[in-house]
Amino acid sequence: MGAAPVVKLSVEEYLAADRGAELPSEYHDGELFPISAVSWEHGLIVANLSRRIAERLEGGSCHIAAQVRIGVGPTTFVFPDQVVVCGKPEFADEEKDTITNPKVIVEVLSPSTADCDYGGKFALYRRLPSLEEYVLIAQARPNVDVFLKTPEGRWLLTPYEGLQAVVKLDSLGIALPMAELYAGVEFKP
Amino acid sequence: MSVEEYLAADRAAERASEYHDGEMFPLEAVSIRHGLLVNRVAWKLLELLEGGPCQIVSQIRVRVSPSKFIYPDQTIIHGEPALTDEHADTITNPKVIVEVLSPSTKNYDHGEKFELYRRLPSFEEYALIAQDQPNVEVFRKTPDGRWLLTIYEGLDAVAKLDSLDVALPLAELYAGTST
Repeated sequence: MGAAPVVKLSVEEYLAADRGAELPSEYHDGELFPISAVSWEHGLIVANLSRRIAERLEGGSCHIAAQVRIGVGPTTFVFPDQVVVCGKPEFADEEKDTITNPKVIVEVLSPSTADCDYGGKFALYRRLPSLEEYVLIAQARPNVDVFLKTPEGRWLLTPYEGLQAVVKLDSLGIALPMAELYAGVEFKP
Repeated sequence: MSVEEYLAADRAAERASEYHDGEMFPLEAVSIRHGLLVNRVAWKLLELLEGGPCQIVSQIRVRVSPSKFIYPDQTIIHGEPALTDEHADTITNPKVIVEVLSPSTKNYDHGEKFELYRRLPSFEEYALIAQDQPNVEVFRKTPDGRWLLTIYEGLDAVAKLDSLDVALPLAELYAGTST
């Protein structure tokens, strides 16, 4: 989403093209959307969070993976920044490169995609019965929004602000200090 | 453009504009369906809020920060409006905001706009009404400052706005909008 569609393809054509491509593309109902290049800060935050989450998940049944293709519906494929899968990953087909059961999805927001991550993407991700938590990390300031699925199927949004805050991911039973997530990031005044 | 210049221009303009940090953004034209839904939600809420301390206002300018002004589709105020100046056309104390989503702005409504509205201490509930299907999302502020999102789907669903203690049957909201 965000970038202009390049070409109209069937799901099979998309998967074949994407599996052979150097740079992955998302796919929404026939249209291909190449992943945009990201900023230095975006890359730093993704690296920090994957490391910190991996550290805390070590030895358990949950694993965090970067840029793995998620099949959200029969005609929608996306690449979240990070996904956590607990137990055995479920795959869309025998290629085993498309997962359908993420428990947690983490997106680092870019100015160009931030609104999409809150709106369209979250609505898509909510279709995944396995999804329990959705984490949105701002780039320009220390600001993290966590959506947690409640037992009755609602979503509880907890906003965290400032480097002193500690983000809780209840579905994984872990806590992440904002200072660790944003280590090395310089905020413009 | 300064805030003063924006307000002067916007007050004189035929079509309203939002304002974000020096830039003016004219409101987009909306579809018939969008217009119908905006009206229906207003009529229903007017009926339900009658005689109470809350009033509903359409397309009022809301100042969300010293340099940001937004026009929500519907704004509900509890008690007296908190006005920014003697023009009495800009408020800072919405209790509930209702947006009918358009394909071009729905992500803005979910993302940046919601974040801006959340800065207002008076703001307690945010309702997002889809156009293309009977679907209403309600974000409700919890006592500990979180936001609980409840999704109402289908014509049998009844959306609840707890901060106003009202219920909106989706069948009534979406009646007559299928054409």
